[in-house]
Amino acid sequence: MTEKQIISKEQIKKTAQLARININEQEEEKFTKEIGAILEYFKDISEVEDQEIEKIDHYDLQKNQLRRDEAREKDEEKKENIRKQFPKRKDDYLDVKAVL
Amino acid sequence: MIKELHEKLKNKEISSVELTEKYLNKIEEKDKNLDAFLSVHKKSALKKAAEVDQKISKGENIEILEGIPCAMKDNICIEGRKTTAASKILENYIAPYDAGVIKKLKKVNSIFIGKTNLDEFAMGASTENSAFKVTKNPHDESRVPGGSSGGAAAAVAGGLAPWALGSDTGGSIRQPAGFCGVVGLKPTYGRVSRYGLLAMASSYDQIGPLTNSVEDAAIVLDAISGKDEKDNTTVKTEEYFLNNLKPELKGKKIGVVKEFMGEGLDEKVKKIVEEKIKWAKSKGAEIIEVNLPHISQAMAVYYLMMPAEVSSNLARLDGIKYGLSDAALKDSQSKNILDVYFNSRKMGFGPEVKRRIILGTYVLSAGYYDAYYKKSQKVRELIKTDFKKIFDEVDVVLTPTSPTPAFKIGEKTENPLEMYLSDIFTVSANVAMLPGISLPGGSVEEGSKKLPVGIQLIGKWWDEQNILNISQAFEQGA
Repeated sequence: MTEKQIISKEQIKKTAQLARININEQEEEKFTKEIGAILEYFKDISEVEDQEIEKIDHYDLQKNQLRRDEAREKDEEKKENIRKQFPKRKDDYLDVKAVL
Repeated sequence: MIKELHEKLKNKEISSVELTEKYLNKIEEKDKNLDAFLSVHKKSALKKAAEVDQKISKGENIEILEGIPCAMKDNICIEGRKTTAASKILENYIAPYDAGVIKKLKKVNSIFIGKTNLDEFAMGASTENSAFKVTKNPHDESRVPGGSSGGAAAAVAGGLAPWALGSDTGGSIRQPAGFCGVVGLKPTYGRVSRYGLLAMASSYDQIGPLTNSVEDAAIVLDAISGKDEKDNTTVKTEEYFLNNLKPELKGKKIGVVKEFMGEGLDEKVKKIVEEKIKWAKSKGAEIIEVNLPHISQAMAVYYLMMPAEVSSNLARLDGIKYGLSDAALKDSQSKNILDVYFNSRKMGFGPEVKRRIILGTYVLSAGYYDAYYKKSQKVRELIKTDFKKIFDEVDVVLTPTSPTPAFKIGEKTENPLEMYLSDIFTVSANVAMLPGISLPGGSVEEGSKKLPVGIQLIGKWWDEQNILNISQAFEQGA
């Protein structure tokens, strides 16, 4: 007996790739079942009819709040505290593997 | 409690150092059983307490929260201290800046005694998803304290801290408050700055107090509220919750949602809520049955939108700038930058986090975006509209906080969906961006233990005063 699954193992595998998370065979199985159950449970929402309503903004955030595009952190110690957390560092640079 | 402690400090009945030591000792004595704390800030707390004592001895005035210890959920950044989100990926992360709320509390010389345990990245309803330890409920150590702010709730309920800050995205302040028998408040979205709160779902997250009394919640809310230029979703508000706090029930219109009092609700919890409703009526409140036509979809909206926002927010945890990184390991298998992402995130995230990121990524992906994410956005607006309509008829909505009292450790870990259903009453406040409070409503006897049961009040946008005042009436009358 085959049931049409709401999400397949292939889709989970592909989605995990998109999310940049390595998952093993066991996790693939588990997540397919669990995420499938969640999507199944909540699938009725796609049946809710669209309605024309007035948008409610509970505050008057009509304008974007802007600031100047300039670096504001001048404190050397704070900057160093950030650099200290770099997993790999070279002088004051963050050392990363080649992107291209 | 806070006012009493403040008076004692002012009158020099106790010093801030003595008070802080008292709590530090309690932590040392009880936390090995409760596991509420991930880190204890002994030295810095005592140093700050000594500074406050100096002020007092000079005859200077002190603010109401000044010199009083408090605990912070470990997803709130305190500069120079570990902020782990109870995750391996941030196990050694030292926050380089203070959260907006921390800045405000530092201004009034609050004493931070430590960081409390949570479900990893605030994802969970039991604190069992912490990568480090499982916090126990002080009322029954075989049971969960709730989540995700379980450590904070247990700390306050267990007498390890006079008050604490937690965060609430789908109920994570209110549900543990209910399970642990303390007061927990989630403010209106936009009331309190999220700057420095490790983001989970940006249109749902709010920081709020866990306290021993409604008055304490008002005091803390006053201290942490307000516009923060670093959080564009905060709004300038000028309200003084403590000043305007008074117990109010007569003439208040309390809405009861029929859909919430039916199936799935534990009979004993139902009885407690019904008794409260009856009592409120006897004190002059008007009880009105209200209809929220789309409320049955609130869970769906939350469990589709929240993971989508989570997948976006947690993309920054990539092993590059900070946190656990495969690139930094001696036996690293990573050959290129993509490998670093894949391996760091594989190692650093627990299963619930991975599950929600994958679910969220799927919901946002081409082909499914319209049916799930876009639809959830629309239904969210419908739910907000439903609430707007009923708030023309009622002042607040009264519900149980959770369908059951605290469950046993391990009881709901097999099936994630079952865990999600404990949020059924709390999520609607986050979905509609409304303020919500849980206060102790009674208790249920399980064996030799008495398990707290919380009742929840949801208020109109910006109407924390009303839910505080009505809560205080319940608190004083019961």
